[in-house]
Amino acid sequence: MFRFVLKRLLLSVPVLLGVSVVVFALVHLAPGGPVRVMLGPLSSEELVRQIRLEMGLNRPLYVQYGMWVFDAIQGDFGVSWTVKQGTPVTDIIVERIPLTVELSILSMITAVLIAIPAGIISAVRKDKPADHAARIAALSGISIPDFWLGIILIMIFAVQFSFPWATGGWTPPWVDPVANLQQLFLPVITLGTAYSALIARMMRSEMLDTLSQDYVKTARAMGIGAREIVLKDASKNALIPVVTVIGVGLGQLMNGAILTETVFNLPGIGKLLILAIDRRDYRIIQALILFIASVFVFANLAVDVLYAYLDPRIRHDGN
Amino acid sequence: MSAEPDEQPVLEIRDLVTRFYTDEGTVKAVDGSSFDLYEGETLGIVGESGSGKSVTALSMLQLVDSPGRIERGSVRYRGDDLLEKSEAEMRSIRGNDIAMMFQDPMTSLNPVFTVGDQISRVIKTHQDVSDATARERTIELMADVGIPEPTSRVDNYPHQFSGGMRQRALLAMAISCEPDVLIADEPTTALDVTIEAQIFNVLDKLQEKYGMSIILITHDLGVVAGTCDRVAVAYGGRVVERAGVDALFENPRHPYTRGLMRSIPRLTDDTDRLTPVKGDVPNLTDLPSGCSFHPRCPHATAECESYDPELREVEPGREAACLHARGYNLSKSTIETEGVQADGGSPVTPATDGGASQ
Repeated sequence: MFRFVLKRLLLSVPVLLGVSVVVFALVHLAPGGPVRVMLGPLSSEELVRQIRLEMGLNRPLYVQYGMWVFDAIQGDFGVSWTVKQGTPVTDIIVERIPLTVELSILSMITAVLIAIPAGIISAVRKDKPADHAARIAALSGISIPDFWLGIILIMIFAVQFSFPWATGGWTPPWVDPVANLQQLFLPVITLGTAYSALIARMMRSEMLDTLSQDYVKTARAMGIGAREIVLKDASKNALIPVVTVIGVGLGQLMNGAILTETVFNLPGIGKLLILAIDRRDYRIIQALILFIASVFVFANLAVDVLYAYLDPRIRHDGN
Repeated sequence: MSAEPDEQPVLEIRDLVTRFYTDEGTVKAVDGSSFDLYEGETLGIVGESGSGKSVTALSMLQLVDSPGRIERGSVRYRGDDLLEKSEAEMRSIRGNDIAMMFQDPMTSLNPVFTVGDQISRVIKTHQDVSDATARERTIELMADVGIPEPTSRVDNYPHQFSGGMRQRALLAMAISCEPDVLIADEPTTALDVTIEAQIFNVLDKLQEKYGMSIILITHDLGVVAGTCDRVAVAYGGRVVERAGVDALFENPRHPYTRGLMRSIPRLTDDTDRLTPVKGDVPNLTDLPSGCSFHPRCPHATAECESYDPELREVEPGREAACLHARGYNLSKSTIETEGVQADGGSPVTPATDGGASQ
């Protein structure tokens, strides 16, 4: 297992390198630049050229890329230009990570806690009212865009009922857990909904598949109870592919966090990314996207490790 | 043990009817099946695919899933009708008194649990024993069914077993609580012939050791000849002939049984071609009127189209369901009156002759 993880970690290096090239190219080839943002639209061409020269933006792209990667490998992503001038990019990002991590994890937990039982019930009660209700809910959950749901929730709970739930901002849980949960309650619902719908649908179809397997028939013929068969025999097999969806979905949670943080005015990395793009702060954009890509890569690695734990067939192939 | 033993049967199946209500119509998978299983014997249930053999077995344990439903009949196990038992009562019978093993060993074991866990779980479900005792017993059972190195194999997963070994593991699971009855549904169909012989060897030994009765469901008459004491031939969802295995092979009474025999290749025969039973297995959603075999039967006469013959004794210890079977005594008037009733009032074509010869 150790060798397996090591191998996967080494494989993630070229992936992240590839991501860095694409991000760098995208950011630098997009129209507009940080200098214009800093100086305003009325500044003279002469001044813009001079500042570009000072910032090193006039050098060939591959040179700029090489310098950036060289520093980045050492953990130095430079200082911010336009978002928070002069502050190290790493500091800005690190400060905002806890919020996004908390939001993602809470959304994921909520989603899984709702989706797995819903999927199981749906499969066991196939074509009965409970199943229909769960499927309609899941379909709605997938179809409703995050930002729209967020706005509607704000309108209902914060505006109509005046719950102090959508105040924006973020109090760290170690400072005031109650305030923290109040602030994150609606965002978690918003972000968790689509995610849980996806997992529930997957869980349902996987359960239907495993429940019709021969080993379930065998277990029944041996006198094993229906509850045990559903919760043990069928569920453990059904979870294997569902775990993949959960892991890949972690990346989508990051995506969703960008919109959700913007709608709820939460100072996480999603909101930071929007701000950085808006102000052409190349260094923050590059560092953030690289960070998000790493989360993707490591989530997938975690899924593979979990997979091996759940499925003995994979565990033994690795050895 | 070719003649029917005198004692009470362990299992007595009477007029079992199981139907599946599908969008394409009602499938009469089991349509009035009757047979007995006696202490310590091996009963073969033989028939083509689609003759309702497996559904009969599943019905006996109330394992038929929606849209299937057991409509009527009785399955008496030591006097108690299993069809009247609750799900909880059935759970304590399944695997404990009556165990069943299925056709495909590759898919019948759960891939994510060890073989040992799957066997010992059955023991723990039915007996109040500690984990350690169950594990010990599991290792013993694995040795019993001929799995080498059971002490280490007990912790293996199914994918580390070959097909034959998996079927042995399933057999160990089925006999783990020393059931009275073992139902083996095509246990060797998915295996090659050398493994098949080994499995039947093990089965034989286990039957001797534990004294259980076995119902062997198969489409293979060769298997039946080698392993069974008595045979029930299934056709169109019911049993059409019952006999001791020697009597059946020497002198089959039902024309369908005769057809099956003719379709077995023999080393001593000079003929180049086998004679298949002509026609196809009847569509269980739309069984022919009268005797369901009559469209394929070389001896069918007019009354076969309207009269549905029940299983009757044709000589002591054997039964057949054919008007033309030797020893099948039924007066012409019975045929006419019962034929009319059975057919819901449609006229019966008068028989041209006595209809009792083959």
